[in-house]
Amino acid sequence: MPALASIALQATAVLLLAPLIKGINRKAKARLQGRHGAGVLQPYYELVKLMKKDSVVSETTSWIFASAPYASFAAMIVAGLIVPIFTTDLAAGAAGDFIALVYLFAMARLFVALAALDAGSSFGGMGSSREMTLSALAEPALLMSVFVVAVSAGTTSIGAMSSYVAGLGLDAIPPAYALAFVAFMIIAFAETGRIPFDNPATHLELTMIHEAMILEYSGKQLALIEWASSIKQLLIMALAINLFLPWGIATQAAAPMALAGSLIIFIAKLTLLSVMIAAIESSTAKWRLFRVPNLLILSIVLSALALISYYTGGV
Amino acid sequence: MMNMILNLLLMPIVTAAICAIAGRRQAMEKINAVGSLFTFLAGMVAVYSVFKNGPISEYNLLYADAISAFMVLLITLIGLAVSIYSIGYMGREADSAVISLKQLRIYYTLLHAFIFTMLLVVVSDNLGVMWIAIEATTLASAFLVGLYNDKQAVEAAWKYIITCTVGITLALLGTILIYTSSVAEFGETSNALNWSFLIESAAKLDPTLVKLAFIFIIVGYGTKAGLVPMHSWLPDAHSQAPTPVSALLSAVLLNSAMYGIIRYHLIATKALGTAFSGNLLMAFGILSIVAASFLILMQKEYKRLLAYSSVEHMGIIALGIGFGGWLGILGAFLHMFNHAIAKSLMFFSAGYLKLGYHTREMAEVKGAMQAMPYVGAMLLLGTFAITGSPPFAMFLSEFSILAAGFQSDHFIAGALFLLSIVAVFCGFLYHIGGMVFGEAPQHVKKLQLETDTTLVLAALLLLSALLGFYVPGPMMQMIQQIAAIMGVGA
Amino acid sequence: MPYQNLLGLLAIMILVFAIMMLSHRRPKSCIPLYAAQSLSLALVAGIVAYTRGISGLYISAALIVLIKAIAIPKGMSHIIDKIGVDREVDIPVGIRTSLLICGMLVVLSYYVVQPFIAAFESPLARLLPIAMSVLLIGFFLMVSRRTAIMQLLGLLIMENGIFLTAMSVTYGMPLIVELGIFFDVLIATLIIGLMVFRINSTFDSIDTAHLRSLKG
Repeated sequence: MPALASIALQATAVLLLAPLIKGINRKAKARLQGRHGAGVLQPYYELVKLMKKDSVVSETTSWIFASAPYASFAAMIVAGLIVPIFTTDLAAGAAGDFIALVYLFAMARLFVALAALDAGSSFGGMGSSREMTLSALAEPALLMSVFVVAVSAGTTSIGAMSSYVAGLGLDAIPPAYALAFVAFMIIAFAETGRIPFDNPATHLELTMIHEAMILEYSGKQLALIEWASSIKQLLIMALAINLFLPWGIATQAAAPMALAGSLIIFIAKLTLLSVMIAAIESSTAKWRLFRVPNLLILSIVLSALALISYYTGGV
Repeated sequence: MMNMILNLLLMPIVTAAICAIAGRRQAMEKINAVGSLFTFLAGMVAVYSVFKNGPISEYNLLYADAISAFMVLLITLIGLAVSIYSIGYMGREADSAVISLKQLRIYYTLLHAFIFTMLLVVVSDNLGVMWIAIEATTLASAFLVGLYNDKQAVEAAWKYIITCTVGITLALLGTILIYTSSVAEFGETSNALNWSFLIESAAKLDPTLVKLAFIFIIVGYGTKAGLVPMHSWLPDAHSQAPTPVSALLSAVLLNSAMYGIIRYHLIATKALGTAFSGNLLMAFGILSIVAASFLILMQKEYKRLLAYSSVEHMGIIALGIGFGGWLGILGAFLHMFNHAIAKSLMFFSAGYLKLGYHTREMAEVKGAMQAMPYVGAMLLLGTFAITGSPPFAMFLSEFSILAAGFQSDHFIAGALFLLSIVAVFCGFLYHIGGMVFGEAPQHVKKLQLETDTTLVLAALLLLSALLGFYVPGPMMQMIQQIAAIMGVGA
Repeated sequence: MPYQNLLGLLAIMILVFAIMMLSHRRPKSCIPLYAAQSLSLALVAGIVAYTRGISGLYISAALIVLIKAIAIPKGMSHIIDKIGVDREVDIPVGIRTSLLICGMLVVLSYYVVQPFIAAFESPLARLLPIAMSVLLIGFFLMVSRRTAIMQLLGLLIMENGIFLTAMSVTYGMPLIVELGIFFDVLIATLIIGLMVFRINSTFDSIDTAHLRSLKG
């Protein structure tokens, strides 16, 4: 399949799947909490609704406020191209590896945080500072948690890592991966703003982290930012699935049938993971900000342990 | 007479069981005394058999050789003394409503259960069973230590059980390592952990594993034996426990833990030569002696004073074993016995100090000779006994160990030992003298001791004096047998 | 040896559970983690029993499930409920520092134990550093927490570490010794539990900082 078509296909898949993940997560949480909840397709309707509305922009903002949604969205699309979704043979894979991915996330975060400060409201500033505090720990933790897989695969290219792990038989997987997986999942919760790090459904500004940063946005810009954050969630979950549990993925961008099958398996795994995350979210409350670094440090320690146990050739 | 060891072990269990269900106090006290007597007699039978016919082995789990026999003698004798003393002492505590009848029942039941566990330690062949028994001694005595249920007793009991359990967990690691080395050499036979089997074939065990195992054992069981720096639980537990229990803890339990170390020391010497384990024992020993002598000088409560004295004497025993040679072994084992007797004497007398003066502080106790002449005299003479003055027995054993030290060219250790003994002598005379002489305060009751208590105290004192002059032939022969086991000619 | 990877995975899970117990403040939330850890331990025993054909280990595994995964957690929850002490206790060392110290303890045990692994003949000897780490973490928990219940938990974690050590170097001790050890652990837990009640009724709290009056 020609490279351009493959890239277009991947980008479309990412764009279309992202709101679905949000919807599944919300529906699962609602069900677990005893409510019916909105439909799984609700986020799509929300995006469409937002696109049709006008935006209200504060006069005191600068070009950062105007460009942040686009920058963030663009970063996420590019990130979506270097993460294996339904195939590990990424046409754009050479464009970036895992470290580039982390930096793409960081770029998106940077723009949104600056935009929040730009608007000049105190809630925005509060959200930015909280977000930056958490990311100061979460980013290195994110990097470290994938190190074991990177070291054993001998590469930081995500597609290559994924196909390496897919190639290992079940009994050849080092148990250090389990430690890394636990560490990664903790960071996944942090990066996607799930409970216990941040409550995506809260109305109280004082408890917001991510939501506080986007309070000033409306209309199309808000739609883009929301979409970008759903894409980020999708990508993080795709990383969890395809780096640690990649069996069933198509290792070559070949026949459409294989790709379709791989896509279906991917969506199934994604649904399962979403429900699991929703279950964990429903079982705990949002933590105080000062307790959150404990969890992040736990993740770093677990990643370090994974590396140690892999390197000492033991387990 | 098959199953001698089993019979010996059954006595205290049965006594404990009957005490648990006995109704009236009188019944409990009588059963307690009779039970101890039977335990002592059963012990004598076993000891005599080992003495005459050599080691006994039962069920592949129990084993008694000369060392075990010596310990059995010690445990049952002191057990008997404690039981008789308890009738008087705990009886008074119950009379003055310091403890309830229910607590008294718990006391007597646990007392004999405790004696059972200590006997099990010294007659087990399987090192794993020995571990279980040593852990069981902690568990059995925890509630005895906390019997009075006041703040300090609870604190002492908590520290005791936590510190000793941690130490014993480390000793379990040592046991596992010894098992590993045995299995590595000989495969998983049914007596892979039996001491009698290991001592024969110790030379073939992997030295690294044996070294590691011994380090864990000496730290682990050393916690239970009160070696510095693992001794932190000892002063609290021994001072807050009821007096008869303090005597049992100091005189018997510490020796049982030391017994465990000695068994492993024997395996280690066969596998590695005397240097490694002997040096470790010497190091811990001298450390305990010096540290304890400092702490003795600074004490303010008399039971804590006696507790630290136990730490010191355990250090002396470890030093003696570490020095080795005939004199070292003779001194160490005699010291175990002599210390048990003298310490019991001191604790028993101190118990009556507490009953009369109602305080543990030495500063508030004065004029014991005036208020309780018999107790005061015992206290004074006991001080001489326990600090190793002639003509009492401790002098002989300490001298023997000192001589062993100089004979094996450990001059510095010997010198430190000598200095510490002198310091302790001065400290004890100062503290005890302050308590015994002078004017008794008005509020002190003049206690009239029961006959059995006076007899017990007198017996202990006389025994200590007697052994100072003359070690009976059979006892000397038993120690010779022990030395033979430890690979040392007489 | 078959199932090596699975055993390695289980050993790592045991370590992770120990570390997670260190990151919790409330005693009550640590108890399910301890139960999970004991369950993993029982699985390890079961798998070793299955592959080496040691029938005694099946009994050990069953006992671990019954005693350590069911009875003891239930007992501890019962004690905590009765005492009503599920508060967040002030921890002297702080959770972040504790976690970092945990990491260092693991590195330390790898560093210390690695040269000795060759002395052991069992193929599971590579699990030894993990077992020692669990032992050290249990010890650290005992030392760094002031609540009496957490000190008991540290002790229990140390016991689990010792069992894993026994598994990794000798496939377990003789059955009678194992039975005795289980019995001891059970009675020790019982007695310590009773002691916790006593402390609570005497001091009206189970903060062992109160237990500092005997000195010298």
